[in-house]
Amino acid sequence: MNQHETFENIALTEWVNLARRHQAEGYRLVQMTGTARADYFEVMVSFDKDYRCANYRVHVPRDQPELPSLSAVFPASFTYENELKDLFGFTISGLALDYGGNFLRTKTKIPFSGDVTLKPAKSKKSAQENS
Amino acid sequence: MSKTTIVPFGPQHPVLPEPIHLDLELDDERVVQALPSIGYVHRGLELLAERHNFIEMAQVAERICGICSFIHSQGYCQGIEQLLGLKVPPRAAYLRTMWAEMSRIQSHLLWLGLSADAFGFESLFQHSWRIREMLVDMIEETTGGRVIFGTCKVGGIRKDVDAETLQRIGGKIREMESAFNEISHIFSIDRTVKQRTVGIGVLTAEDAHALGAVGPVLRASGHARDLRQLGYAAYGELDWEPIVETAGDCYARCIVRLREISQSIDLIKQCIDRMPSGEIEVTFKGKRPQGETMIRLEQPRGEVCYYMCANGGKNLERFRVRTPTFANIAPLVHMLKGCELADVPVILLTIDPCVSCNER
Amino acid sequence: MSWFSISALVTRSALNRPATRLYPIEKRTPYPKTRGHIAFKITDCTFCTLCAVKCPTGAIVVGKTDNTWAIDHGRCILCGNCVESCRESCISLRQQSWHSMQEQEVIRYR
Repeated sequence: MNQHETFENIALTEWVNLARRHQAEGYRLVQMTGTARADYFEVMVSFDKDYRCANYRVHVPRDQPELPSLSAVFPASFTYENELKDLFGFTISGLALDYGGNFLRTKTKIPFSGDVTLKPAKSKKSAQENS
Repeated sequence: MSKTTIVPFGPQHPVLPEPIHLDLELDDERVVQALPSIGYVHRGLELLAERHNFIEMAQVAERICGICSFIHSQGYCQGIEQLLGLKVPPRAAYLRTMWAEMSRIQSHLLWLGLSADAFGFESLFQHSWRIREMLVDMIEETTGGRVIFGTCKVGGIRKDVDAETLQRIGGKIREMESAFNEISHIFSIDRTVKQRTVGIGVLTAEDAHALGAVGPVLRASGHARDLRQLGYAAYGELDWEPIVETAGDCYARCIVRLREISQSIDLIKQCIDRMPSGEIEVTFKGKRPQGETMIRLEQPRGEVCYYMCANGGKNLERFRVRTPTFANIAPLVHMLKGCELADVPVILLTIDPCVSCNER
Repeated sequence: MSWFSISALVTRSALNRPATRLYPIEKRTPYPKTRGHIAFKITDCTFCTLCAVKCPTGAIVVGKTDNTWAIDHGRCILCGNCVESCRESCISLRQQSWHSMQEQEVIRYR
């Protein structure tokens, strides 16, 4: 079953304009999520209207993780932006409610900003090893 | 302006055993601002998806939450099925719908009990959970587990339910319905309930939309938005309408949940009556997921999103879950502004927080 | 008169038998489908290790060379993969739940 989703890559400069356009058309913010890739951060945002979901991706350089805030357009975005800030160390300019890195109480600060190594191997701990 | 006091709320609070911490900035007894913080029980489930076989991961996905467990595995399996291009047989779709509705009823009954407890109505709490027990027994009878159903798998379901058991469940659900109607009546008319909920924590329709509220919180503010209308599993073939209340206060959210339980009971009856016969799973030997997808489902607490990205390997490349509680934190912070300190637990509970779900 | 309904319900509950059981003394009979614990019969086992490979949590450890079979009930999530995969049907699912454990117990068969 298809849930009518589209994925599109956009430029960082388009970020706020895109949100503004969707807001004017009556879309709502579904989610915003970050992923650490090997040489950049990827941020994906989803808007929804009439059960149709549109997803957009933006690439943020690792050495300068800056993202303009959408909280002026969608007030709902502040939780997601605080999450990005706390997990990946983003600088979010114009964030309406900035918890200053205290939203996600993690043991190590900005835990997801380290190097990305892909480890497909899975280590099963056996019952005997532990007994 | 008088001096404000900061009162910490949680992560261990008698009213809710969930690891959310709120710093309540108080002016006398009134909340000026609430600062939430989470992250106490992060489990790294999303990373686990990149290391585990995509078939085995269905069992891990079920363990994201202990209350909406079945719907998590259903969503995960739907996503993988979409990536593989599989179509689930109708019997599997109907059984999935039935179990998803059972899981919704038990979650809502659990919530009714907890909220009754939050406003100090112990006997109503005990009676709600007594009815929930009847339902949990039905879940055990059909799936073998009480909390973790363990019946969903990629391509269908693991175990069939025979006609005799379905008949018995049909009888039991009618029995449960009459017991529930009594509780439902009490919740909707009792003075104690009304005094603690009517007019408290009002979320207007505009705010609910702007702040991205989901699930019963959104529907209590007058938006008829229920993702089951997408028609996944068997929902497209059943007769139902989203439940909407307009007041937007705690009482409206309570009524939405009460009416949703009645609706779910009706949906289970419809599923049992129309249960098609035939296969319960499709095989996909050797196929590997490829591509990306975003799957959205309606959980008892609201909309859940799964983003999956696969590159033809046996593990997913990226798995991301956005649970409904995370979306409801923004409306919560908004509702807490300007309320009394004594109402904070009630308002917090009416978004049905499942904070541990947030921490994938 | 909004208090009447709850009072009637509470009175009725007070006069009837409790909804709960005196647990360790009185036990409910499990349903036929209840996933209680994994039972193993070593007589037919060929030590093919299929169950150990299918086990998602690594609760089952099979020694191919010394013909042993071990299960850690604390790790077992009762998914039933091993029961489905066993070709000699020497693994079965029982309804009675495993007793509560104070420490990790690995049950070994040889």
